Parts: sequence; C-alpha cells; structure tokens
Amino acid sequence: MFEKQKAYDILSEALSFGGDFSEIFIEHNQKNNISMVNGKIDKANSGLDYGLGLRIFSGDKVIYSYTNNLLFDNLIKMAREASLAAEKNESTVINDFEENDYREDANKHKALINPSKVEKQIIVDILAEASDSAFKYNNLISQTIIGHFDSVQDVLIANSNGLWVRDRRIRTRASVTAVASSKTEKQRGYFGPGALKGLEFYDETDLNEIAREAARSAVVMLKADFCPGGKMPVIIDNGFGGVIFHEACGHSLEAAAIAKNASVFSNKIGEKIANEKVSAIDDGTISNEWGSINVDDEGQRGRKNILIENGILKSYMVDEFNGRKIGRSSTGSSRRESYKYPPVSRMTNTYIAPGKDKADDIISSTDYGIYAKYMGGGSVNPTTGEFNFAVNEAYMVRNGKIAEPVRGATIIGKGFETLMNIDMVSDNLKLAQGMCGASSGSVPVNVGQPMIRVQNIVVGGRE
Amino acid sequence: MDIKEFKNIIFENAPKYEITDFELFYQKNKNFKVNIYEGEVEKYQNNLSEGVSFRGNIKGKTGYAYSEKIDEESAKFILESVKKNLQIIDSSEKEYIYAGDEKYPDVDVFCDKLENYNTDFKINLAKNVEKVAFQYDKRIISVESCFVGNGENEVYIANSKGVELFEKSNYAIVYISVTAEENGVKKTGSEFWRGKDFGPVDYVKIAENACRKALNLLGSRSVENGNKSVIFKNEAFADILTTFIGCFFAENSQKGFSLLKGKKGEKIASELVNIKDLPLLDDGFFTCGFDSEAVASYDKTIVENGELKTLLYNLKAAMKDNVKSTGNGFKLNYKSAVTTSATNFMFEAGNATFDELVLKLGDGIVVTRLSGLHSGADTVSGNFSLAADGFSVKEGRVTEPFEQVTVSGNFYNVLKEIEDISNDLYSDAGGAFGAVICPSVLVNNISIAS
Repeated sequence: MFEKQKAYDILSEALSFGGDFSEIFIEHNQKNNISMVNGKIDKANSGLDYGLGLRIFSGDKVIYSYTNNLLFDNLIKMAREASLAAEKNESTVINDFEENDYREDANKHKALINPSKVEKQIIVDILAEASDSAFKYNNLISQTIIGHFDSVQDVLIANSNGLWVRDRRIRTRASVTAVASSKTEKQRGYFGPGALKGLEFYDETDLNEIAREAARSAVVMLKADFCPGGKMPVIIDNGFGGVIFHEACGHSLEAAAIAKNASVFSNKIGEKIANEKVSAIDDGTISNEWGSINVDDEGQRGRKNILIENGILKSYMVDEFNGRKIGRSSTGSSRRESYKYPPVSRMTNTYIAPGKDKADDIISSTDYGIYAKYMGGGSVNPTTGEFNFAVNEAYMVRNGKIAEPVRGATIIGKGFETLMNIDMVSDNLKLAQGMCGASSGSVPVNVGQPMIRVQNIVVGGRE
Repeated sequence: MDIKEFKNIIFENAPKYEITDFELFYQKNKNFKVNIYEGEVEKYQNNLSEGVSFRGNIKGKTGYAYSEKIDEESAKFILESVKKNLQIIDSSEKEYIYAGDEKYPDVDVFCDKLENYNTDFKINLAKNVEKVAFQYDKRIISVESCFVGNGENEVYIANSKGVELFEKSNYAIVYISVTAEENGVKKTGSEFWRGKDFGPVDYVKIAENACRKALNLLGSRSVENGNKSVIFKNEAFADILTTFIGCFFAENSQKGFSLLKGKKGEKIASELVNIKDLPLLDDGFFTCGFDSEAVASYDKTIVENGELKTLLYNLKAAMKDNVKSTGNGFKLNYKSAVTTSATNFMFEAGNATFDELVLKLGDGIVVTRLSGLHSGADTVSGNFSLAADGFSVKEGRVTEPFEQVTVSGNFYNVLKEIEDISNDLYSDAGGAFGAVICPSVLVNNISIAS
C-alpha cells in the first residue's frame, strides 16, 4: 500500500525546518450503509474514504494536514509547507522502522465474514425480518427504521520514532427503531447493537428479539404519563445505563481536558473522587467488542486501564501529545474518526465494575424514586462537570417496588457530585454500544455498568 | 485526477452498466485553522480534501456510491457499487435526475478579499481574542479553546440530462470558549463568529461576549419547580429550532416522522409566527444558487401568521406529493445520499425589544443556553426535556442566574404558545440541516424542574 522509503522521505520532509516528531496516518476505509423504512429499503450507499493525515509535534504545538491526493510529490509539498509552521530547531533523526502488522495473524479481533464481499440481499433479508418482528409485536407500531452499517478500515501508521503499524478494523452495526403511535402521540424504542466483527455479527445477535424489545419499549412509553420533576434517587439499570459514567466522569478523565487543567479531575490522581463502591475501567482489549482496538490511532497497543479503584482515581486516558504535557505515557487511548482528525485521548469500552449489591435489593430498598431501564444519549461540559442525559424507558419506584412507566425524563447533574452519590452497585455488568463525538470526531465506544443507584439527582420532567 | 477527466470516464462507462439516468456530485474543501493557547500557537491545521458521489438509475431504481479516491479504479468501484446497491432498493423509492432550470440565480458567496489575509494575520487575530478575554475580568481563569480559521468549498454537479453547475464559496470563522471561576464554582461561555471576510471582525466583542456569558452565570442558584412562562433567548431558541427543523421536511412527514403531516393550510402556530426559508439571503451562511440535485434556489414562506404554507421538498418527496421541489434536496456532503435541508431558516423578528419581553413576562425565567439537544429531544413527538442555564425574572426584571434546571415541553405546543416575539435577531453557526436565524420568544406553559 505504501513504500517505506516514501514514508521515510515524507516524515523527514515534515521535520526539515523544525519540529521534533512526525507521523503519518493513511486510511483506506470501505463502508456500506443500508436503511430500511417500514420494510422497504429506501437508501443503500457504498463508499471509500481514503486519505493521509500528517502530524508534527513542535514542543507544545501540534501541526496537522490532511489530503486525499496521495501522489508522492503532493505529499512532499504538503509536508514541507506543514514543517514551516514548526519552531526552528536542530534536525531530528528518523529512526528505522520496526514493522508490526495486526491485519491478519496478530489481529486480536478477527472478523470471519468480510462484509464488503457478501451479497447485499442477505443483509436485506435480516433487516426485513427484524422490521416484521417489530410490526407483529403490537398493532400500535406504526413505523420501523432498520439500518445496517459496515466498514473495513485499513490503516498504516508510521512515525519518526520508527513506528510502523498496519491494522485492519472490521465493524458491523445495526440500528433498530420502532415507533408506536396513537392519534396524537408518537414514541420510539431504539437499540443499536454492534461489534468489531464481520457479518457473523448477525449470527450471534438476535435482531428480531431486539426489534421486539424496541417495539415493547415504544408501546410502554406511548401509554406512559409524563415523569415528575425534582430531586430524587435514580436507579439506573445495566448496559447503556453506563452512559452516565461515560458522560459524568469518562470525558473529564481524558488527557486533553487534564492537560489544560480544564477538568474537575485535574491533579486528583490518588484522591477519592467517587463512592468506595465505585471502580471504573476502560478496556480496549475485550475480544471483538464494538469499542475495542488492536492498536490505537497512534499505533500503540490497546490495553486495560483501571481509572478508578474503590473510589480512588488511579489513571487518566492518555495520548502521546497530551501525555507530554502532563508527564504521563500513552495508555493506548488515542483515537480519531478518520485521517481528517488529529487524534486525542478517547474512551474505548468504559464501564463501572461489578459490585456486591443485588439488583433486587437496590429496588426493594428504595422508597421513592425513578427506575431508568433504558438510557438515551447525553452530553457533558468537562470543565464544569455538568452533564445531562435522556431516559428512554423509565418507571416510578414506590415502596420498594417498580410502579407505573413514565416518559420524557432527563437526568442532569455534576459529575463529581454524582460519583460520590452512587450508593449501591450491583453485580450484573453488561456493555452496550454507542458512538461518541468529541474533538477527534465520532468513534465507536462501549459504555457499561451493572445496575446502580444514585442518590439525590435532578430529574427533569413535567408535573 | 482532474474532476472533468473523471466525469468523462464515468459518463462514458455508466451506460455499459445499464445505468441510464445519472448524476455526479463533486465537492472540494480547503480549510485552515489555528488554535491559540496561553498566547502561543497550540494547533495549526491546513487541509485539502475532495470527494465524489454518484447516483444512477436502472429500471426505476436508484443506487448510490462515493469515493475520496478520484481515479480510474474508483470509477469502476463506484459504477459496480451503484449497480449492486440499486438491486436491493425498493422501486417506490426512485430518485429523479433533474433536467435543470432555465435560469439559476446569481449569488454572491465568494469573497476575493479573504485570500489576502496571511497566516500571521490569523495567528495574531486569535492571540488578540484570547488576550482580550484574559484582560476582561480576573475571574476568567482559562481559555479552553480559541481559534481562527477560513475555508473554501467548491461544488460541481453534472448529470446525464445535460446539467453542469459549479459554485465556489468561502468563509471565515472565529471561536472562543472561556471559563470563569468564583468561590470554587466554574462556568463556561463561548462565542462563535462566522462571515465571508475578516474585515468586519470585532474581536473585542467576540471575546467579551464569551466572557460575559460565563461571568453572568456565576453565583447560580436553583429555582422553584412548576409550570412557568419562559423566555427562550434567541441563542437558546435557535437550538430548539435547529433540533426540530426536520418537522418541516416533507420527506419526514411522508414517512410518518413529523406531526405536520397533512397540516398544510392549517394553523400550526401562534398568529405572530412567520417562518421563511431564504437561500438567496445576502451574507447567509447557507446561501446558494442551487441545491444538491441541481434545482435552482428561491426564497419561500413556510409559515405565515401561524398557518403552514408549505413543507420543504427534495425531488423525490415532491414527486410523491405531486408538487414541485422547493430546492431543498441537499446532501450533508458527498458521502451522504440526498436528504432534505433548510438553507437560511428565518423565524421572523417581532416588534418588542428584549427588555419589553422581560417586562411582559413578569415572573418566570429566561433560558439562555440549552444542553442535551441530541438526546433530550424527541424529534418525532416533539417532546423535549433539556438542561438549561439562564436567569430568574421577578417583577419584570432579570435577577440572579440559575443552574441545574431542566425545561420540558413540546415543540408543536411551543409554536402555539408563543405569546410575544422580540426584535433581537440572531444567526446561529449553521448545522447539518441549515442555518437558523431567530429572535427571542416568550412562551407559556413550560415545565421547570430542579
């Protein structure tokens, strides 16, 4: 795909004026998107993302350039122009490349069926069956949208330290939306299962069952009254419930925020930042999980990082550039959506570790509050720690029992307060898939947790 | 490979794949951006990218493919992919290749002067913005992000019906986000500026606006729960309109994803409400001479005195409703299929000043910023429940700021419950489905929880 001599020349040219580190990231990413509305395929698109991103470090400054024109002369010209933005210094030596290839044998997350090489009708049949399953669940289901996405991303990462890494990431994901309608109202149920796998993902995932669950959730919410607002305990179920940790804490532990002292958790390593029942982990190594990696987008091996242990902050998630600023080495956490983004520290599969409480006990010990069965998405301001997220399916809890469903609930809070207010953690860990957006684009991540309870959190709703 | 050369290869070979009607869409983007942190250049970016998208019909079915690699091999990949993709498409979802309009409006979307600003000018501008922020108030403890950038976009469309169109536009941007701290509590504020030329940039104002937004929120308290009248400040109201803009797209209503289905000619909003889509607006962020399907742009009224006049159409949706396209068939970029987008989406100003609006509100809250729009709002039902920042209003006067509050309601009800509209038009930065221009509004019946 790309000769070593060419890479060497570009990396050298990039440091010809100044700078102390250069890197190229070359991407060839073949993608397929299929969308089915009400049982009919309404859009099918295929494409090729292709380009090179060049990055130079010059002290505390990063220089980035990308292009789709991979002709050597163009790349040399781009490297020369980029190098002029660096501070002038003594020439930096480019080390000999040490080759690492994770595409085949060394791939920790093997894909069995390459999605680009399969008859599309096979996928269409799977989607159609899922759509049918949702419609058949209940006659209040008025619409379905079932989507399929796959990508085969081949990357080459090379840098002036002699790193030469090739990697292949094959991902497959479905999205299932069921809409339940009454005369005046519409409610949606949604799930988006995915994996770092090929099309064998569909053999291992029961999309029909997921579609029925989306339909059930939509129907329940259609009949639900609005959630009451105010401060109360909230029980958040396992799986996508982990989005609370992702938003309330995860983003604030990324080195980019730490380096600028723009995080509530800056300079807090070794301090208690959460209830002692809380341990949290970011693990990029779990086999074939949606957020997993062989190597990050700087070519460093993915790893299991313990972020919080029994309430004590143990580690941040660190990329090379911000790691230099805070004096910490890479934790294999550097990610980017594509060659169009300079990578920064991001999450992979992030979850709250299982605790010792039992789910039943959590509910039975709660007099009044909300049980959030399925969470929606959310966002956070890492500087202030203020987060918000939506609850897709919620119930009132009264006298230790799950009572009537309520809809339209939003949960808001401040991350550092919420972490302290987690007073029960059960043992039923589950992961769920999502896309996380930040400065280096949108990357696949898992969130996860066992059922937890948070005391005294603001629930937004209508009286 | 030059795009014209690539076009010739595609046009020559498409018939060999039995593709009859087809269209090539090409985009090129050049952008520059420099970030400043504590007086020094932190990040410096200079990029050039291009991509091509192709859609074609065989026997009444439409297929898509795109590529960022523009060479002979990719032409083959595109034509093969299109053929494969259209085999699975439902025939009722055929898209139309447009024969073109007789005339296309002249729009002024390229500013030659922008080329004249060199890198040093942009670095200094960004440094100045940051400096003003730090000098504004000692409670401004950090500037998280401060950048200046500019870019250039080219769009080229050619189709089998003889249409060939080209448009080149450019833009300049300035952004700053600051943190203010008092008594251990931090609040952030940001300001975004976008224009065609750095000439009129008021960097002092940009920095000061961001600082004021953060400082004003210091000392926030909580507010009482209940149903209240609320003023959505223009910036916050723009966020609400951006979130629910898809309600006005015919494509969504046809699929049952908008409650405005079948409401043409009916009152859907307070009599005070007038909404237009203005692709020909001078200096609009989304001004353009044609859409991604080569339909000529024209200005249109969506809501007049509260009555729904039209939804926004692309060619396919228009064909289904037996009307003409409103020229709103856009692609997000070459990677996406044609969907619908507004252009410059204008919610017209009223007569009241903002202070008069506050006086009329009497007791309630002013919401200045909303968070969680991508998750706390259901675009199908119109329901929303969002984290809000803002100020309490007592006896017609703005008093202290509040925090940790959510506002909940329904978009369709908000349109009906608009009691008054001020004259303080604000242009947002433009999102995936158009740029919103709107004033502040006074709305009844919003639930507040804290």
